[in-house]
Amino acid sequence: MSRLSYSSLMVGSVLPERTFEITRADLKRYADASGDQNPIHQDEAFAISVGLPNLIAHGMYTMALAGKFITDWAGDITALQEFGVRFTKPVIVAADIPAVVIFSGSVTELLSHNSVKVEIQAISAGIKVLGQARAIVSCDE
Amino acid sequence: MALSPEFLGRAYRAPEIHTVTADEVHAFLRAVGEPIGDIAPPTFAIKLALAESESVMKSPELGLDWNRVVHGDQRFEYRRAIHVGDVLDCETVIEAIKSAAGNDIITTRCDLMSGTELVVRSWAVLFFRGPEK
Repeated sequence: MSRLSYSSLMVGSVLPERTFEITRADLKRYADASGDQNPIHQDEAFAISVGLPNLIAHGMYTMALAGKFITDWAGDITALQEFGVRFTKPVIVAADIPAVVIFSGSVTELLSHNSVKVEIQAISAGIKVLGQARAIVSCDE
Repeated sequence: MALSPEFLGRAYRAPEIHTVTADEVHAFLRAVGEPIGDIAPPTFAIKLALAESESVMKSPELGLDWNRVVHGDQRFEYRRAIHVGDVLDCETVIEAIKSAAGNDIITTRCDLMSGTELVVRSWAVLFFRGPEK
Protein backbone atom coordinates (compact mmCIF):
# COMPACT_ATOMS: atom_id res chain seq x y z
CA MET A 1 0.00 0.00 0.00
CA SER A 2 1.53 3.27 -0.94
CA ARG A 3 -0.06 6.50 0.02
CA LEU A 4 -0.12 9.66 -1.95
CA SER A 5 2.85 11.93 -1.30
CA TYR A 6 2.04 15.06 0.70
CA SER A 7 4.81 17.02 -1.02
CA SER A 8 3.14 16.42 -4.40
CA LEU A 9 -0.07 18.16 -3.29
CA MET A 10 -1.17 21.76 -3.07
CA VAL A 11 -4.42 23.57 -2.42
CA GLY A 12 -6.42 23.05 -5.59
CA SER A 13 -4.88 19.66 -6.47
CA VAL A 14 -7.61 17.70 -8.16
CA LEU A 15 -9.04 14.27 -7.38
CA PRO A 16 -9.59 13.00 -10.93
CA GLU A 17 -13.27 12.63 -11.75
CA ARG A 18 -14.71 9.11 -11.58
CA THR A 19 -18.06 7.62 -12.44
CA PHE A 20 -19.77 4.87 -10.46
CA GLU A 21 -22.85 2.99 -11.60
CA ILE A 22 -25.47 1.79 -9.12
CA THR A 23 -27.93 -0.99 -9.97
CA ARG A 24 -30.72 -2.46 -7.89
CA ALA A 25 -28.61 -5.59 -7.46
CA ASP A 26 -25.93 -3.37 -5.87
CA LEU A 27 -28.52 -2.00 -3.43
CA LYS A 28 -29.62 -5.50 -2.46
CA ARG A 29 -26.00 -6.47 -1.86
CA TYR A 30 -25.42 -3.31 0.19
CA ALA A 31 -28.63 -3.85 2.19
CA ASP A 32 -27.48 -7.36 3.12
CA ALA A 33 -23.95 -6.21 3.96
CA SER A 34 -24.98 -3.18 6.02
CA GLY A 35 -28.14 -4.55 7.62
CA ASP A 36 -30.17 -1.57 6.34
CA GLN A 37 -33.19 -3.33 4.84
CA ASN A 38 -35.42 -0.26 4.57
CA PRO A 39 -37.82 -1.11 1.72
CA ILE A 40 -37.40 2.34 0.11
CA HIS A 41 -34.11 0.91 -1.22
CA GLN A 42 -35.51 -2.36 -2.54
CA ASP A 43 -39.23 -2.12 -3.23
CA GLU A 44 -40.26 0.33 -5.93
CA ALA A 45 -43.98 0.18 -5.11
CA PHE A 46 -43.26 0.87 -1.45
CA ALA A 47 -40.89 3.77 -2.28
CA ILE A 48 -43.55 5.38 -4.48
CA SER A 49 -46.22 4.82 -1.81
CA VAL A 50 -44.24 6.96 0.64
CA GLY A 51 -43.89 9.79 -1.87
CA LEU A 52 -40.52 9.07 -3.44
CA PRO A 53 -40.15 9.34 -7.23
CA ASN A 54 -38.78 5.78 -7.43
CA LEU A 55 -36.54 3.42 -5.53
CA ILE A 56 -33.58 5.30 -4.01
CA ALA A 57 -30.05 4.27 -3.07
CA HIS A 58 -29.04 4.16 0.59
CA GLY A 59 -27.38 7.48 1.40
CA MET A 60 -24.71 5.44 3.16
CA TYR A 61 -24.07 3.50 -0.05
CA THR A 62 -23.38 6.75 -1.89
CA MET A 63 -21.16 7.75 1.05
CA ALA A 64 -19.36 4.39 0.81
CA LEU A 65 -18.64 5.01 -2.89
CA ALA A 66 -17.46 8.53 -2.02
CA GLY A 67 -15.14 6.93 0.54
CA LYS A 68 -13.79 4.58 -2.11
CA PHE A 69 -13.30 7.52 -4.49
CA ILE A 70 -11.17 9.29 -1.86
CA THR A 71 -9.24 6.27 -0.53
CA ASP A 72 -8.43 5.02 -4.04
CA TRP A 73 -7.00 8.46 -4.79
CA ALA A 74 -5.11 8.42 -1.49
CA GLY A 75 -3.77 4.91 -2.22
CA ASP A 76 -4.83 3.44 1.11
CA ILE A 77 -8.21 2.26 2.41
CA THR A 78 -7.13 3.37 5.93
CA ALA A 79 -6.09 6.91 4.93
CA LEU A 80 -9.14 8.78 6.25
CA GLN A 81 -8.95 10.56 9.60
CA GLU A 82 -12.30 12.27 9.25
CA PHE A 83 -15.10 11.92 6.74
CA GLY A 84 -18.47 13.63 6.67
CA VAL A 85 -21.31 14.27 4.25
CA ARG A 86 -24.80 15.74 4.11
CA PHE A 87 -27.37 13.75 2.16
CA THR A 88 -28.93 16.53 0.09
CA LYS A 89 -30.88 14.58 -2.54
CA PRO A 90 -31.45 10.87 -3.13
CA VAL A 91 -29.85 8.87 -5.93
CA ILE A 92 -32.77 7.47 -7.90
CA VAL A 93 -32.29 3.94 -9.20
CA ALA A 94 -34.58 2.82 -12.01
CA ALA A 95 -35.34 -0.84 -12.73
CA ASP A 96 -33.68 -1.18 -16.09
CA ILE A 97 -30.72 1.18 -16.22
CA PRO A 98 -28.05 1.83 -13.60
CA ALA A 99 -27.96 5.17 -11.82
CA VAL A 100 -24.75 7.08 -12.43
CA VAL A 101 -22.89 9.08 -9.79
CA ILE A 102 -20.01 11.30 -10.87
CA PHE A 103 -17.48 12.16 -8.17
CA SER A 104 -14.96 14.97 -8.39
CA GLY A 105 -13.02 16.89 -5.80
CA SER A 106 -10.00 18.88 -4.80
CA VAL A 107 -7.62 19.58 -1.94
CA THR A 108 -8.88 22.57 0.04
CA GLU A 109 -6.27 22.78 2.80
CA LEU A 110 -2.80 21.48 3.64
CA LEU A 111 -2.67 20.41 7.27
CA SER A 112 0.16 19.42 9.60
CA HIS A 113 1.43 15.83 9.92
CA ASN A 114 1.21 15.16 6.16
CA SER A 115 -2.56 15.47 6.11
CA VAL A 116 -4.81 17.28 3.69
CA LYS A 117 -8.42 18.30 3.67
CA VAL A 118 -10.40 17.47 0.55
CA GLU A 119 -13.85 18.46 -0.55
CA ILE A 120 -15.72 16.37 -3.07
CA GLN A 121 -18.82 16.68 -5.22
CA ALA A 122 -21.24 13.90 -6.12
CA ILE A 123 -23.66 14.44 -8.99
CA SER A 124 -26.38 12.05 -10.16
CA ALA A 125 -28.77 12.84 -13.02
CA GLY A 126 -27.45 16.40 -12.95
CA ILE A 127 -28.31 16.84 -9.26
CA LYS A 128 -25.95 17.31 -6.33
CA VAL A 129 -26.60 14.33 -4.04
CA LEU A 130 -24.03 15.06 -1.32
CA GLY A 131 -23.32 18.38 0.37
CA GLN A 132 -20.44 19.41 2.61
CA ALA A 133 -18.66 16.22 1.62
CA ARG A 134 -15.26 16.57 3.20
CA ALA A 135 -12.49 14.35 4.45
CA ILE A 136 -9.13 14.66 6.15
CA VAL A 137 -6.69 12.33 4.44
CA SER A 138 -3.35 11.06 5.72
CA CYS A 139 -0.55 11.04 3.15
CA ASP A 140 3.07 9.93 3.06
CA GLU A 141 5.74 12.61 3.23
CA MET B 1 -45.21 15.05 19.11
CA ALA B 2 -41.78 16.54 19.71
CA LEU B 3 -39.21 14.53 21.59
CA SER B 4 -38.73 15.79 25.12
CA PRO B 5 -35.47 17.70 25.70
CA GLU B 6 -34.97 15.60 28.83
CA PHE B 7 -33.31 12.98 26.59
CA LEU B 8 -30.49 15.36 25.68
CA GLY B 9 -27.18 13.88 26.79
CA ARG B 10 -28.71 10.49 27.53
CA ALA B 11 -26.19 7.68 26.92
CA TYR B 12 -26.92 4.09 25.98
CA ARG B 13 -24.53 1.18 25.93
CA ALA B 14 -25.19 -1.62 23.46
CA PRO B 15 -26.26 -4.72 25.34
CA GLU B 16 -23.79 -6.92 23.51
CA ILE B 17 -20.17 -6.67 22.48
CA HIS B 18 -19.68 -7.19 18.75
CA THR B 19 -16.89 -9.32 17.33
CA VAL B 20 -16.14 -8.24 13.76
CA THR B 21 -16.25 -11.30 11.52
CA ALA B 22 -14.45 -11.95 8.24
CA ASP B 23 -17.81 -12.69 6.61
CA GLU B 24 -19.29 -9.30 7.42
CA VAL B 25 -16.16 -7.34 6.44
CA HIS B 26 -15.86 -9.27 3.16
CA ALA B 27 -19.56 -8.78 2.39
CA PHE B 28 -19.20 -5.03 2.98
CA LEU B 29 -16.03 -4.82 0.86
CA ARG B 30 -17.79 -6.71 -1.94
CA ALA B 31 -20.85 -4.46 -1.72
CA VAL B 32 -18.76 -1.32 -2.16
CA GLY B 33 -16.53 -2.77 -4.88
CA GLU B 34 -13.32 -3.17 -2.87
CA PRO B 35 -10.93 -6.11 -3.11
CA ILE B 36 -11.34 -8.63 -0.31
CA GLY B 37 -9.10 -8.19 2.73
CA ASP B 38 -9.28 -8.04 6.50
CA ILE B 39 -9.46 -4.27 6.89
CA ALA B 40 -12.95 -2.76 6.82
CA PRO B 41 -13.63 0.23 4.57
CA PRO B 42 -14.26 3.60 6.26
CA THR B 43 -18.06 3.50 6.26
CA PHE B 44 -18.25 -0.05 7.69
CA ALA B 45 -18.63 1.53 11.15
CA ILE B 46 -22.17 2.53 10.19
CA LYS B 47 -23.24 -1.10 10.32
CA LEU B 48 -22.73 -1.07 14.08
CA ALA B 49 -23.53 2.59 14.74
CA LEU B 50 -26.82 2.80 12.88
CA ALA B 51 -28.11 -0.51 14.24
CA GLU B 52 -27.46 0.82 17.72
CA SER B 53 -29.10 4.19 16.96
CA GLU B 54 -32.10 2.32 15.63
CA SER B 55 -32.49 0.29 18.80
CA VAL B 56 -32.14 3.43 20.97
CA MET B 57 -34.63 5.47 18.92
CA LYS B 58 -37.16 2.62 18.94
CA SER B 59 -36.79 2.02 22.68
CA PRO B 60 -40.10 2.52 24.51
CA GLU B 61 -38.93 5.66 26.34
CA LEU B 62 -38.14 7.48 23.09
CA GLY B 63 -40.70 5.66 21.00
CA LEU B 64 -39.72 7.21 17.68
CA ASP B 65 -40.98 5.68 14.45
CA TRP B 66 -37.92 4.32 12.64
CA ASN B 67 -40.05 3.91 9.50
CA ARG B 68 -40.20 7.70 9.24
CA VAL B 69 -36.50 8.38 9.58
CA VAL B 70 -34.43 10.23 6.98
CA HIS B 71 -30.67 10.25 7.37
CA GLY B 72 -29.56 13.88 7.09
CA ASP B 73 -25.85 13.99 7.84
CA GLN B 74 -23.17 11.48 8.70
CA ARG B 75 -19.67 12.08 9.98
CA PHE B 76 -16.85 9.83 11.19
CA GLU B 77 -13.62 10.41 13.07
CA TYR B 78 -11.18 7.54 12.85
CA ARG B 79 -8.49 6.70 15.38
CA ARG B 80 -7.72 3.57 13.36
CA ALA B 81 -9.40 1.27 10.84
CA ILE B 82 -11.67 -1.58 11.98
CA HIS B 83 -10.21 -5.06 11.38
CA VAL B 84 -11.60 -8.57 11.31
CA GLY B 85 -11.44 -9.88 14.86
CA ASP B 86 -11.93 -6.51 16.55
CA VAL B 87 -14.14 -6.76 19.61
CA LEU B 88 -16.15 -3.56 19.78
CA ASP B 89 -18.70 -2.08 22.01
CA CYS B 90 -20.86 0.82 21.17
CA GLU B 91 -21.97 3.75 23.28
CA THR B 92 -24.61 6.04 21.84
CA VAL B 93 -25.25 9.54 23.17
CA ILE B 94 -28.09 11.84 22.17
CA GLU B 95 -26.16 15.04 21.45
CA ALA B 96 -28.86 17.32 20.07
CA ILE B 97 -32.63 17.46 19.85
CA LYS B 98 -34.44 19.94 17.67
CA SER B 99 -37.92 20.23 16.37
CA ALA B 100 -38.83 21.97 13.14
CA ALA B 101 -42.06 21.95 11.14
CA GLY B 102 -43.37 18.93 13.03
CA ASN B 103 -40.18 16.91 12.53
CA ASP B 104 -37.83 15.73 15.28
CA ILE B 105 -34.19 16.27 14.34
CA ILE B 106 -31.88 14.22 16.50
CA THR B 107 -28.10 14.06 16.50
CA THR B 108 -26.64 10.86 17.88
CA ARG B 109 -22.97 10.22 18.56
CA CYS B 110 -21.72 6.67 18.58
CA ASP B 111 -18.36 5.66 20.02
CA LEU B 112 -17.05 2.28 18.93
CA MET B 113 -14.63 1.18 21.62
CA SER B 114 -12.18 -1.70 21.84
CA GLY B 115 -11.90 -1.98 25.60
CA THR B 116 -10.89 1.54 26.64
CA GLU B 117 -9.54 2.43 23.18
CA LEU B 118 -11.72 4.65 21.02
CA VAL B 119 -11.64 3.24 17.46
CA VAL B 120 -14.25 5.26 15.55
CA ARG B 121 -16.50 8.10 16.70
CA SER B 122 -19.44 8.93 14.47
CA TRP B 123 -22.33 11.35 14.38
CA ALA B 124 -25.64 10.90 12.58
CA VAL B 125 -28.29 13.56 12.10
CA LEU B 126 -31.65 11.81 11.87
CA PHE B 127 -34.89 13.49 10.75
CA PHE B 128 -38.06 11.84 11.97
CA ARG B 129 -40.82 13.10 9.74
CA GLY B 130 -43.94 14.17 11.52
CA PRO B 131 -47.40 12.95 10.47
CA GLU B 132 -48.64 14.13 7.07
CA LYS B 133 -50.87 17.17 7.35
